[in-house]
Amino acid sequence: MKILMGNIHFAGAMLLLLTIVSTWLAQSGISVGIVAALVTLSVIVKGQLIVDTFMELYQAPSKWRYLLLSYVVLVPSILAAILFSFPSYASP
Amino acid sequence: MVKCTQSIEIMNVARVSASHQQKTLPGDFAMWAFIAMELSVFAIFFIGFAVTQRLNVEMFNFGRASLNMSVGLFCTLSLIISSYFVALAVKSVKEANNLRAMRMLILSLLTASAYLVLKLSEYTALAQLGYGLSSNSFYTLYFFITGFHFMHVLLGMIILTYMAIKAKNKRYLADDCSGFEAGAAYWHMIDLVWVIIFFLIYIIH
Repeated sequence: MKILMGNIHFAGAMLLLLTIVSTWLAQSGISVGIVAALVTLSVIVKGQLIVDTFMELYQAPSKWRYLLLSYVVLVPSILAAILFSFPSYASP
Repeated sequence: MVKCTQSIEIMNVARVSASHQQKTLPGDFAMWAFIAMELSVFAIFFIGFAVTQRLNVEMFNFGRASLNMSVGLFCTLSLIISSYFVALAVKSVKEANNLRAMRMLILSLLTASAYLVLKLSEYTALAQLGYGLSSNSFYTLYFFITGFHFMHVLLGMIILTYMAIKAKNKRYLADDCSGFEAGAAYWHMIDLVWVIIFFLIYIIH
């Protein structure tokens, strides 16, 4: 796994694959909850690949790395929580 | 025996020191502080979009239906490929290959241009359907967030062009390329933000 960390070609291929798979999932008609969980997870993985490999924070000081990694975990999770977890107050 | 122990200690100290030296932030500190601020601003917009969607579910479903998911998909793919070429350009500079870095940046700019064309075509299509900033909350937030990101892409492309010109003139050194790394980090931030925009505006519904 450590060999793959920081591998630009692997990160690029994974990012493309996850984007295509999450688009397919969104249009697949599978249960909304499952799609939301999988797509949120794919965004977190994509964010981690960008931060660690493309931005090269894998070898950076831990505080900077964890600051950006916490962003890519927290922001999609908060968005998914707002959109799917709390009761809706939709106007009639 | 004592000499042997001392030499092992010296080697251990050197190894620890080398591992500490490797842990450096790529690029400039100022750029990373700027990136952190930009990401915070986008996070506020994203949360604002999500909360407004919960308050206006039908309006957002209707608005999202007017968007073309293929455009969103190809915008994402073009920005990811562009970011991939920028990462390869950084690697080339560190290998003291400025000309290869320049070629990678040109490829990056070309793929980023595809994003610009796609986004402008989507804006045009929506304008022809009569949708604008003031149509409703969905379009206000859609145009505001994607338009703000679009301006970042334009600025990023200007930075990449400047970097390509400097690389063409072989101005970057393998052991002193913090300016190049800073510009690349900014571009990757743009890519990262779009990944979340694609998730929030096109995918999740």
